[in-house]
Amino acid sequence: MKLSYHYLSLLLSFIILSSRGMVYTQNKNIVEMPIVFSIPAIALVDFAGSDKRITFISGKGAEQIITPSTLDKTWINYSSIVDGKSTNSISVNFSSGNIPAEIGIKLDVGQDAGAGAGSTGKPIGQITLTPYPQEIITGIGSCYTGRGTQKGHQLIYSWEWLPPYDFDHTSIDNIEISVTYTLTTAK
Amino acid sequence: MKKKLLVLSIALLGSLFGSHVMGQNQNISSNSLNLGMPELSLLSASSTPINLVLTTSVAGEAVLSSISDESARLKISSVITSATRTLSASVSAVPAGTTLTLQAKAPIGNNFGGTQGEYAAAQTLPITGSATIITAIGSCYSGTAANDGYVLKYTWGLENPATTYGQVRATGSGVTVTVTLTLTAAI
Repeated sequence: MKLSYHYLSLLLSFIILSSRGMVYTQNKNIVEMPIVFSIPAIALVDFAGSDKRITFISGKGAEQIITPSTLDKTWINYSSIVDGKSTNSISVNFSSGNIPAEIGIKLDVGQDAGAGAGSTGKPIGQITLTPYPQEIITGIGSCYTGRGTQKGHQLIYSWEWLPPYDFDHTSIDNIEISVTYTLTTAK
Repeated sequence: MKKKLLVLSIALLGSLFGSHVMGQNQNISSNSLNLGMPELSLLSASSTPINLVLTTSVAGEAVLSSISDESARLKISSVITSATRTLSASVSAVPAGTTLTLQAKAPIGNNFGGTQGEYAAAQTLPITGSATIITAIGSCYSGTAANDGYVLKYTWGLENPATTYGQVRATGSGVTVTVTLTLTAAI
């Protein structure tokens, strides 16, 4: 009994001693790196067009000065990134200028020209401009229209002479009216 | 006292004999050394998150089509027996409508020694499986200074704007994902 105990401890110490000379492989062959992706929400509107009497103020709410000759010479461009829970829409209203009582201004918005990509909005159809914002393009998701004329949606203004229109048409040439377009989030 | 004297004189005699110089003809001796070099497969990377942002500030334009970052370094220690190693990578997730690519480049630190391997072109990182980034890595070390190690170029971009831009979503404060880099394990 005593002999086997000595034998065992001898064997154990032999194993311990011999293992000191053993060679181990080393592995820490996998690493992880954190990466943070960010895409901020975007809602930008601008105009493009050939009418020299138009001034553009770009931004989230963009202002356009229209005259009786503006007609269909301008285009609205926009960029939009939504967060997935909402879509954006563009509304329009008069922001300054006096409109003679005999005049009504109608606005029709064309389909997106397809120069960009993504979920561009759908025009609602012809509306009559008022001082109060009305939606004109809805269902805008993440998209961009491209920048410039023939890109985005064509804006088609038409001036109506409400009866009785017995005044001199040339007198309206100097009328300038500010129209503001606002890209907003519809929850 | 007599005994002490005897021991002393024996020691003296011995030292005299020991310093006696004799002609020796056996001018080759052999020692048996057991040299062990384990296989090594070690990686480390900085844990500072890499921030990638896609956005635009111009109405009508898309967000940046891609953005790159080359700040990450991958440090390595590798000892091979015979088979070379490969470095492969995968990513935990990427935002919809986007892809993440990775390209490893030669170290620009001065401390690299050994066989770097061969660099693949930029690879799209998959969520399942992995993409091969470097092949034929031999025995090498990168050094441990801040700029040492393989240069990792991450590029985050739009997958295919014409078809998938509408899937892109705003991320709020950012989405953190994990890139996993794996070096072939040591045997």
